[in-house]
Amino acid sequence: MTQNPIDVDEAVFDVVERIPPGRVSTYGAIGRLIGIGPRRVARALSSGGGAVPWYRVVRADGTAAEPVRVEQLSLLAAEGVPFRSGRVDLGAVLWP
Amino acid sequence: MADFSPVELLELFQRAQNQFTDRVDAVAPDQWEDPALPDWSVADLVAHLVTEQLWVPPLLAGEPYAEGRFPEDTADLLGSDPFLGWESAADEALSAFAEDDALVRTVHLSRGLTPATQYILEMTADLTVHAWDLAHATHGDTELDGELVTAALVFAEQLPEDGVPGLFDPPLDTSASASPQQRLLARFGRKA
Repeated sequence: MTQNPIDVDEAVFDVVERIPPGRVSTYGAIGRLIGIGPRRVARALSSGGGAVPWYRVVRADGTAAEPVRVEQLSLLAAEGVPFRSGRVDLGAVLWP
Repeated sequence: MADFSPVELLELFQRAQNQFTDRVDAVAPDQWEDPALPDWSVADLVAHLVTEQLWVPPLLAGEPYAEGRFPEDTADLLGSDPFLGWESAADEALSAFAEDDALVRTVHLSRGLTPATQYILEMTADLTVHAWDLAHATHGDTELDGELVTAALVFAEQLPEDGVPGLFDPPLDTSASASPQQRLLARFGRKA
């Protein structure tokens, strides 16, 4: 697979932009939509995801990455996203 | 069983996966056929872990362990991009373990019925020891996450004194001053 890194980043941003408020996706789920792995999705969002709702993407277990955890969980809480034991209740809000 | 709560077990598993992902990410393109364990190349080792991850969703769904459920060939398991193959399998496994009641279930392993809490601890220990194997084989970072070493030692304490033929190598002797990581590796028959 020889995709231009910038095109891959753009593909990630395009999908993440479509996640509605109050819904949450995972790095793996976004990756499956565009044929890349979870870590590549996370890298795109951490390096240039500021213009899209990056905080609506969490790990497959509903946890947020440590460096942004507090900010991410408060942004999600503000959209009414439910949590269980510090994890997003993905069963209730998973997108797509 | 040690006193890990389901939330802690899930967190440890996620970290063990992440640590292994780091080691897979560090494999150079020309290292996949290098030897990792007796009879196993680096690719075989990663494929073994892929199979273990692939089993998590069906086992948690109540399906009993059975031979032939997934491909056995390393190339089939890893696909054209081994890192992506590993990540995809790991992601599905983490999702399955993170389901609300996953850790109160019982799974049908080849040896019999096992609580999911025991299963996830065993998977965590396996990922931890194999992360060392992978790093060792590829001349990478062999320093393991200390909390994962502790958790893996809890699992190791439950194993029979002389290992389990075909599954766990018998322990090696360690000195009284050995670090937890050295004790863990020796417990699984690895010479650090």
